[in-house]
Amino acid sequence: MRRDTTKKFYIVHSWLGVVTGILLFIVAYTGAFSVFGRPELNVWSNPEVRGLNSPDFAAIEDLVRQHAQSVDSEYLHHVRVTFAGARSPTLQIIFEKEVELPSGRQEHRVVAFEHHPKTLAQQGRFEGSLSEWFQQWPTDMADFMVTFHGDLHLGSPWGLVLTGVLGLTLFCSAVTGVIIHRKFFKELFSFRPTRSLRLLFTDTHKVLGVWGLLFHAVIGFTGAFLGLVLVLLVPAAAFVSFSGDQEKLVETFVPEVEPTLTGTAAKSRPARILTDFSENNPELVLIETDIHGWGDQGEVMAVTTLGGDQLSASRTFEFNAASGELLRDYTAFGRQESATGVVLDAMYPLHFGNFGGLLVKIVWSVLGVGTAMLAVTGMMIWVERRAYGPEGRLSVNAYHRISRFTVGSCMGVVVASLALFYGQLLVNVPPQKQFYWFSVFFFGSWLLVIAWALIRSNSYRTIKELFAACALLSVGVPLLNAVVTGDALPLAMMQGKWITAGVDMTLLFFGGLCAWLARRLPSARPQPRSRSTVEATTRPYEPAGDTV
Amino acid sequence: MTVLWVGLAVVLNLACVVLWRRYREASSAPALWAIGAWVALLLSGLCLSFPYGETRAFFITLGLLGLSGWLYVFARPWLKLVAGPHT
Repeated sequence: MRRDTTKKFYIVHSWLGVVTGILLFIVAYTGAFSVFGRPELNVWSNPEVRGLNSPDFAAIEDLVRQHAQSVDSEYLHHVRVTFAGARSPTLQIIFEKEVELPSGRQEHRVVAFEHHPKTLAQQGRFEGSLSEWFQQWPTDMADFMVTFHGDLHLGSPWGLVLTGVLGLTLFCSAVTGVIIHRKFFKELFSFRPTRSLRLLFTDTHKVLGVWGLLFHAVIGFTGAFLGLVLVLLVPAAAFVSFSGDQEKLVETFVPEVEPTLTGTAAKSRPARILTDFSENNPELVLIETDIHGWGDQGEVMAVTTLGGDQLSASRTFEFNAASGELLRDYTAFGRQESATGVVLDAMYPLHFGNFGGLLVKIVWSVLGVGTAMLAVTGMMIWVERRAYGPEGRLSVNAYHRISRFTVGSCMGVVVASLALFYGQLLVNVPPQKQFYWFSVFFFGSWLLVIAWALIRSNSYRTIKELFAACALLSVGVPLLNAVVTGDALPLAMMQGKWITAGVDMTLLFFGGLCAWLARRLPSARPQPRSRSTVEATTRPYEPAGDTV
Repeated sequence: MTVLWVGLAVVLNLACVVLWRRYREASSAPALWAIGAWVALLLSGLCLSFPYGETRAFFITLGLLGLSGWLYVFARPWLKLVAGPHT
């Protein structure tokens, strides 16, 4: 490739990185965090579901039968049971019917009963529309973080568009990075941490980029898809293939279960089916079961699960609820048995790494931190080259301000994610106010860190101080958890609360790592050199391997 | 059994990285090192395909390769420092 073409790609690569660098760090770091959002952090956030055993299906069936007698018969067409643990802190039994509003629009109305996950005592009853039901759901710190990763709490469409575009820029950065990195294979192993600060940054950036290239590309592509699918892709596909009817498109790919009702009454046996199913499939996590046509001979029970051996967000098994016969099983988009379905199925698990248990989650999370580091090292190189190299057009102080803002924003999101744990443990307010208080903890601590970084003149010392703060915050969470919930780490392990113990141990490890970094990182820029000295000794442009 | 397959896959993945480095540095018969690296990577994928199936094993292998590369490259200068100047 010609030298000037490479230079053009280099300019595109560096500006893409600079414009989106901080946001990319934020989304990638919260993504690495969100990998463990469901169910690990959900379980940690809700002490009542910690150490939960397999559900008592017989007792749950009794509850469904009791509630079925107390609701209008129209609601029996669709009964949904959401098991406590993976997605919900309580057992939920929901009776659903579809009504036509005066405007002609269809609305789902529900009667929902909430039960304690362990004692199964009734905790609440709700009657209203499905959207109202979702609105009054409690939020925990895991939900807060996963949603923040998805749309930065800007909502649809702008938040989704923004994260989708960030995915696209990550993908473009990966492509342009390969093009400009001419010594791609030769410098796979180049890491010279002691030579100079600039080499340390560029080598780290290249090693993170090259070895994780396929991961970054996959995450960028799937992130762009997940961000833009609802806002742009579904309307566009509906416009092309379904005359703009988006509901018809969704029904084609995700059709609703339609039981063939006979009108003959029959007693279903959901508990027996679920017990047999969970005994025969111990690797699958039961999320919910949907019963269509309650009490009819043609009653269908759809059991939605996580896990299994397919690359898909979930897998559903349909049974005849009266006979217990397995009718069919399919993945989220697998009912069409088309290549499109396979690709759509793969998007979510490939992005969140929830397709191979804890191992894949750990691998995806560490690689995600690598993507975040890729963004921040890119920013550091950009600032370093301009503040101390030949490419700067602004004053050195201006680049220092950019550097301080970058440090504050990036370290701020690390501190803010730890502050969320404190919010979860300390805030005890009604469900409607939880989101507000999580926002106070998260954005408040983030803004404090940004302010702190901006008023400090030495970014290196600020980074050390903030890593020390992260260490204290990380180590403090298991201690506070022990005080507030009584689940001290050794006790949690003895009681078989492995998820709680795992989260606590991860935080202790992270705290140790932060403490080590706070100790080892320099408190001032190594080998400070003025721009004039550098300009006298450096060539104006180096497009070869040293260029990022 | 899954732990065994995964452990073996991780070792083979790291071996792939080390062999590729040998290939980059080899002055004689470099192709052998390269073939060794590719075989190690394929075997790593094969090991993971037993507990996870081929499709998932493909992505997990590539993810592990990224981590192995980072581990090897970033840990090497530190290990050299710890081992002393004669290694």
